[in-house]
Amino acid sequence: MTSTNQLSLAEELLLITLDDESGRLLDSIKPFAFEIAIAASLIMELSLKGKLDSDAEKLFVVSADPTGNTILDEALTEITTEKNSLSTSDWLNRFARKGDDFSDQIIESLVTKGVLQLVEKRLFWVLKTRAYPATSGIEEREVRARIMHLLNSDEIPNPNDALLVGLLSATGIMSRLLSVSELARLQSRIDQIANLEEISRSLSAAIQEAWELIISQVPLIH
Amino acid sequence: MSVNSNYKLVGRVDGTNADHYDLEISTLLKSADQSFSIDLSGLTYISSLGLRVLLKSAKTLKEQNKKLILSKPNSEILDLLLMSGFDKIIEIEE
Repeated sequence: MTSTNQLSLAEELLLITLDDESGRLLDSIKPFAFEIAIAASLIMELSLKGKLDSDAEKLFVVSADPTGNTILDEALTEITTEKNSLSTSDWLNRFARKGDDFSDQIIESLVTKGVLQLVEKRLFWVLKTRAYPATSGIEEREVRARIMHLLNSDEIPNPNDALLVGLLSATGIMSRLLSVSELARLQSRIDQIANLEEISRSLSAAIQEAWELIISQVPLIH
Repeated sequence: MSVNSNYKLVGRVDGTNADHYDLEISTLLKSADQSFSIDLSGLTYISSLGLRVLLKSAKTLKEQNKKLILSKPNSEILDLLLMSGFDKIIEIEE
């Protein structure tokens, strides 16, 4: 068993995002939102580790010392070696392009930790498909319980939980965790917590911009 | 209600010095009365990591049924605190 305090934000996000039964990404999550959220979870993790800091205009490196985590260090190196000063939103959009690669690496990490298991199936005896169901599901239940406790209290969140709420809220995953009535009752609390962190606000704006871009490119039906 | 108001943040608080302030404030909070006030009148800039120091202080105090008061922020810092929704969690005195 792996305690969730050993899991990164990206790993917790993926656990909640994978369908319990099939071990595949939930259908209700828009792919572009998931990719931006994965990018955000890496930036958030680096910020939690004191490697990155940000304000409304820019994201900047506090320490370029490696974290020891391959995925995070890949992202940190790219930010450190960038000559231009970029905002959090700029980095979200850049890293989102590598969202698939990052999510593959995060899934691999969860399999290595024994949280997920790799199940390979053959479709029509030819096409090989992969799914990643949870080994025990205890880690995901712990994450959900922690978030539900926070939402149903007036506690001041720690940065890790505030950022996770921001991730779940911006991607719409929160609506999968809560019933319609619960969501209505807790929406202001969710907004309050998600709004506390600059990276969460940038994430929310980036997803909204991506959505508006998609909508603008859909041909009008007459 | 007694207020321990002997702390003042001056200049910039960001990733380069947030740990220092975190440690300094955490030490002072151990002997805080019912409220602990931080004077922000000399604060010119605060980043995300700096804001986390304030939020962590508020959380520590709240868990002891005490409260944090942020006083006299300049207009830019006040805007940032309001945009982040800190005013819904922490008492702010203008």
